[in-house]
Amino acid sequence: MDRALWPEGVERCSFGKFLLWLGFIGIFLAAGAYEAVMILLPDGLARTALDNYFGFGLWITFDLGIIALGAGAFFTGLLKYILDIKELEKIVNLTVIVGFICYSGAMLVLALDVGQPLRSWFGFWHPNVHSMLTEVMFCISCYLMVLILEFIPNILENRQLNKIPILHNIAHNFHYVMPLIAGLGAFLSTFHQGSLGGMYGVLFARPYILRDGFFIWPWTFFLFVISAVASGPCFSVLVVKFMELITGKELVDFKVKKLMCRIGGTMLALYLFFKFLDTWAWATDVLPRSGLTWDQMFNDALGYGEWLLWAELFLCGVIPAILLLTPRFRNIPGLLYLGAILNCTGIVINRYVFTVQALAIPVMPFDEWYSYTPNWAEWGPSIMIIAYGFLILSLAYRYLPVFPQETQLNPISAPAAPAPVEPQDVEGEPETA
Amino acid sequence: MAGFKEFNIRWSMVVDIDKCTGCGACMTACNKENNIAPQEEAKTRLESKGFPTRFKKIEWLTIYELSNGKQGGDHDTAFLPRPCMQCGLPSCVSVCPAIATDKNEEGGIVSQIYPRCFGCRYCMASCPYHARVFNWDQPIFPEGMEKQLTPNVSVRSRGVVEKCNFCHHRMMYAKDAARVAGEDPEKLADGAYMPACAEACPTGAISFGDVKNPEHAVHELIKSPNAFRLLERLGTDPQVYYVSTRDWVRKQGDNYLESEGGVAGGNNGGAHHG
Amino acid sequence: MNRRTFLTFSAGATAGLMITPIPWKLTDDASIWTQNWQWNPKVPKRAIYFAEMASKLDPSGSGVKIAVVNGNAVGVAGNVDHPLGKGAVSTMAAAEVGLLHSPARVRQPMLKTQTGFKTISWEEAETILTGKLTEARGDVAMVSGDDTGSANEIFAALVNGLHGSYYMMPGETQSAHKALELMGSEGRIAYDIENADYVLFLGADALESSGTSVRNARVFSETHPTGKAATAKYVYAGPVMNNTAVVCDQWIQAKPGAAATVALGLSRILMENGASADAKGFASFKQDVAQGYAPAHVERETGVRADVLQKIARELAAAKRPLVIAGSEFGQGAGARALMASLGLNMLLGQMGQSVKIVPGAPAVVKGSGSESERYAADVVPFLKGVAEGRVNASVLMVYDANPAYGLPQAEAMARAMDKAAFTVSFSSFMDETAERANLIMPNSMTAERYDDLYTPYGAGCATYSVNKPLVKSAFNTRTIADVMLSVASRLGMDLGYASFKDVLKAKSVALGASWGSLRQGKAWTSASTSGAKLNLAVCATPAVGAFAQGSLALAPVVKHHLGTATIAMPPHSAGTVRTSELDGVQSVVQMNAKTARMSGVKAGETVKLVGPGGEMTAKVHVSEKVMTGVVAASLGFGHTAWDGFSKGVGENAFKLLAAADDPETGLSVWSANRVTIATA
Repeated sequence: MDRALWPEGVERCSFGKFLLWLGFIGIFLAAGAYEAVMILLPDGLARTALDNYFGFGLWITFDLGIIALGAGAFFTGLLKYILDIKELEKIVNLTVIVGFICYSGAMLVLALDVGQPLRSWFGFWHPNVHSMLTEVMFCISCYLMVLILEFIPNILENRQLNKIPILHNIAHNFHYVMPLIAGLGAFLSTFHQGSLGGMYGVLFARPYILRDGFFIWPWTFFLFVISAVASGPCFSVLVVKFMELITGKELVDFKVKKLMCRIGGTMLALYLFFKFLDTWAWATDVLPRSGLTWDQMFNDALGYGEWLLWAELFLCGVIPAILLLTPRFRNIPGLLYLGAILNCTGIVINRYVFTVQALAIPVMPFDEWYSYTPNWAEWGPSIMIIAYGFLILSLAYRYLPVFPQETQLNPISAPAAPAPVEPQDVEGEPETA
Repeated sequence: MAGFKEFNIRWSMVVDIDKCTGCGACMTACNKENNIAPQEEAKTRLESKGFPTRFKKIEWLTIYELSNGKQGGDHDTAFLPRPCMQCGLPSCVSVCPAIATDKNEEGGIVSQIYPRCFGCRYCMASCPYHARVFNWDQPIFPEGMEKQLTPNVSVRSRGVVEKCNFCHHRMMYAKDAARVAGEDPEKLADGAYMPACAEACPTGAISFGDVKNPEHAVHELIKSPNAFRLLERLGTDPQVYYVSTRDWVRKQGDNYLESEGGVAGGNNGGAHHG
Repeated sequence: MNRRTFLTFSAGATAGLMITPIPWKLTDDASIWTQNWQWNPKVPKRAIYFAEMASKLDPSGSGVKIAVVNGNAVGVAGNVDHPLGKGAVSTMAAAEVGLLHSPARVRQPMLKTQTGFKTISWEEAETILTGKLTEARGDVAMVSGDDTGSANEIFAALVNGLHGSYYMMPGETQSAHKALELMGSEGRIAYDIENADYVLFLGADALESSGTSVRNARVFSETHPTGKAATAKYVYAGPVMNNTAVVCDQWIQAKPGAAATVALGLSRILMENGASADAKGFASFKQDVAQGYAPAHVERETGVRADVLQKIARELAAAKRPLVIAGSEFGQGAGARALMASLGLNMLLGQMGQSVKIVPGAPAVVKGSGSESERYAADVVPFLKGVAEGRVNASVLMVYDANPAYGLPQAEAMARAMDKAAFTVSFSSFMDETAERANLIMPNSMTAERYDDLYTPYGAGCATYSVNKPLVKSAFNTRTIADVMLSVASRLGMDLGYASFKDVLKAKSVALGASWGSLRQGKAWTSASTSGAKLNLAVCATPAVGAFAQGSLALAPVVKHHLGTATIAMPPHSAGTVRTSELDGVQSVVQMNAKTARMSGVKAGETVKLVGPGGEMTAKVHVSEKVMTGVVAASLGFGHTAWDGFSKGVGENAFKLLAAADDPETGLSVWSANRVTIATA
């Protein structure tokens, strides 16, 4: 029914089926939206399981997680537009959409997380030049605008919109300035990914996350940037694979996926090198000079055990790095995706322990460990954002030319062939996944 | 990071832990003075709606109970009232994205500006003393109790952070009184300005004054070898000092490795209330 | 469109948006709205005036200053000039303001009907009460919890005129009156703690809830200056490291109710070393003590080791100005013996007239009111037990400044007594457990709203007198009951000689020789005069009534004023001070040490049932070394079934566990040595 809106040369499911799909997404959107509205209006944050010990909880972990995973946008953009790696053009649109979803979703959750959302602009109007969070606010807001700018041309390339001359021209002009926008995005992104790490590293009264550093930047600044670019490309690949599973089509060929994962794997290895050094320096310097020991940083009974650290560094660090860097493993699709999943999981673990475990650890000797479990008031809006992501991707996939390779990878058989044709052998083995 | 802030006056509290009975008169006085809504009402409201109530209480002054961890006759207990430390190098001030909290006034009290705060709670994450609390809900005053609000402190709305400010309004009143009496408001007499908790304490466990003024009692008190501050090693430079003749109490003021004379296995945890 | 046009258009749009007022107005408005939501209460903007007041809610009688803004009482500040306040503000003094608008306040007189309480006017209430009193002649009883006020004289005169009976709530004041009476004297006991260089508290929680606790705490502060050497040694002997023991220089573990035995044990050692007292009955006292209180016996009975006892005796003897203050660990139930034993000990130490003085009681100014001793003579506990069991008739039972349905041993039976009495009248300001069961509630105005006075609380340093005048208009339709009862008396045809309570207070000040003008301004009157009475020591050593009931554990009820008193439930601003060692959610928590827990077969965090001679309660176990072995400590102040959301339905009332045993020798029943059984629930 909406065939006219589809991109050239692709098939999509029936409109009715699509509406059903949207309805399904809508359930999660509505459930989460209900919680969000209840928090914003009558109940306030009292509705959540956050408290005076855990001012940061699921939402901050979620935000940091999706911002790190959305780093595929800027990094792919940087590599494609600045370093001119042509292969990446096959997936760059998708990474931009994923980035847009991640950043706009994070902003939505943040608007919910602060106590006085109507005053959020105070961070811009009364900025504190010493605060990492000020930097984060500015850069994330600017970067979201950059992402919108990067997304707009893709939207304008919708078959019907593209027919309108002025829109077509705008899109065309955007493509001209795209390297500038991508460069700007890379700059902003580096800083806010870093500042998010910096937010934790500067807390000199929380030895678990405190780090020394270089000038005003604690080591976590750099670690967060590198871990973001390590997981971002992999996450984009996982999103593509997931879309392929749902749509039953091949959207990006395996070579591009391998390239993205190789990039991610390389950055992961680089990250791990510094992360191991950092962990060692923290354990042998920051902790003892605060009078604390390694064992005091963990509490197995409450779920903040050492196993999380080893999982982050080895199971979700070294192992995926090996999987993604070794061609033999990388060529096996199952192992490639496993590596990507472990990689992303490791980064999420890192964000979680920095946010929640840091607050669970008592600093005053007579204080106690406490644990935090988010309740539905927090899960709901988080799931709402995930549903929002599904929604955007569904709409983008259906109506926008996101994947340049789609038509080539999924040839549509022409109706009523004129004469039976002898099947011919195709030369070589196509790489399919 | 913000630089170290130094003023000519340094308002400080000295708490004699050996004199604190844990009676709660200080907490009660603080709650009333600063227009804090009765918390039980607040808790009931949350419970009736099925919301989690742990650690959602507003209280600026918390009394911790410390134990030397021994059994039988060797056991000993101490109570430690903890207001905001008004740190010389506050970990909260440098992180607030809207400069809703600052250390920019003579005397060194760390401010908290309620109309400016938008409730991001980054300052709460940074404070190791848990001195900062958040208004998770609207303040609820049982009918008639709002008539008993003092003019001293505005009622905070939902969604902002608040904390002890050493009864800053009492400093303003003391300065005004000095001006009226023709005295120097920047050289208040010892005892002219006392926070509500220090005034209320029946056993006189809380002393207060300007440690830089030799005429104030606290000036000498902090020089005692029995004086210590919480978590000094972190570099926060608190303006709240504690005094105890008991070794084990002083040792619980900071984290120490076993090699530094600390307890093996580190902190032994204390009893928290509420 | 080419690139230039595109960029120009974009730049123009952005600049244009910035110069419209829209974004600026919206953001400015947003910041103003968020500061001024109408559902947030606004604070007043007027001057604060301070007026002196002596607290009647705080049993220590501390004088404070009430901060008044716009005619509303908004806060409580210290009054350094008041001898019993000395600048401090205790939790109960703070409650004077905190409770003014408590949801539990009774706002006007109420009469109980079939369907609940209905509001009536004061005129109707007085008429009803007058009618009931007329019918009930002789069968009238009044219970008062006001240990310091002249209002008692009016009430007693009225009750005496009707040939009824007058009861004072049990507590340290009653114990003191009884002790002095048995020792052949009368008046009030005063402790000169200011000048004592060695203070031994036997059971009495003197820095938190016993006697003039606020003043005692201030003196403790002065004698233990921060950063300097202490000028006095404070020792506490009791089963729990309570708020007094935690700061005392030494805590001696002694079983609940052991105060008398320890005092007599110390007396024995002193007399063995030659101490004597120039007093009647000394010989008989010496003999009794020598026979019955050898250190080994004391150790068995109280848990205080013989060598510790010897050391304390030595320290007492060596002190220049020792002072021994004994009493129940929880302010009631020790009868007269602990006090008598300590008076004997103080006399042996030569401190009669020094650290311990007898000061004259308040002069009576209302005809027919009888003497203070007469008012304290009767024991209310067996009376109410009798009413509850139907053995004793009470046609009209009036209750003033007390909550017997909650704060007495066998609390459930006491509550039943309120129901059983034919017509119960509560004068409480609050809908407490007694008022809930009353037939008629005539609510008293609160301290800041009425005239009242306060004469020498038990343990004050000397004769002290304060007068309160109304500082704020009554928040509700309440009255000063003393005035109401004067009116009721005249309706009954009695002429008590005064038109108003204020005149009674004036007469009192004249009788004391105090300046009315000065009293009205909030200054406290003190007098150093003492009664030269000689005490008879013979009664001091008769053996105490043994521990009540079987049970593996001794029960140590603990009073902390941040949880309220036996009369007043936890004030709203103190509710946040409750600790997890006292209350877990809405479940009571009892404390015992690790050894006791093992002995009893219970573990930390387990729910247990305690069964005492008076009743039972369930609670969670908290293991704490602040409790002596063999003892389980329970906080008093929880388990209210009335009042308001702050205290109703939270925890269990440990008063339920207690039961009083008769002590015919003193005429005061005792319940400070109860035992309980414990089992996992």
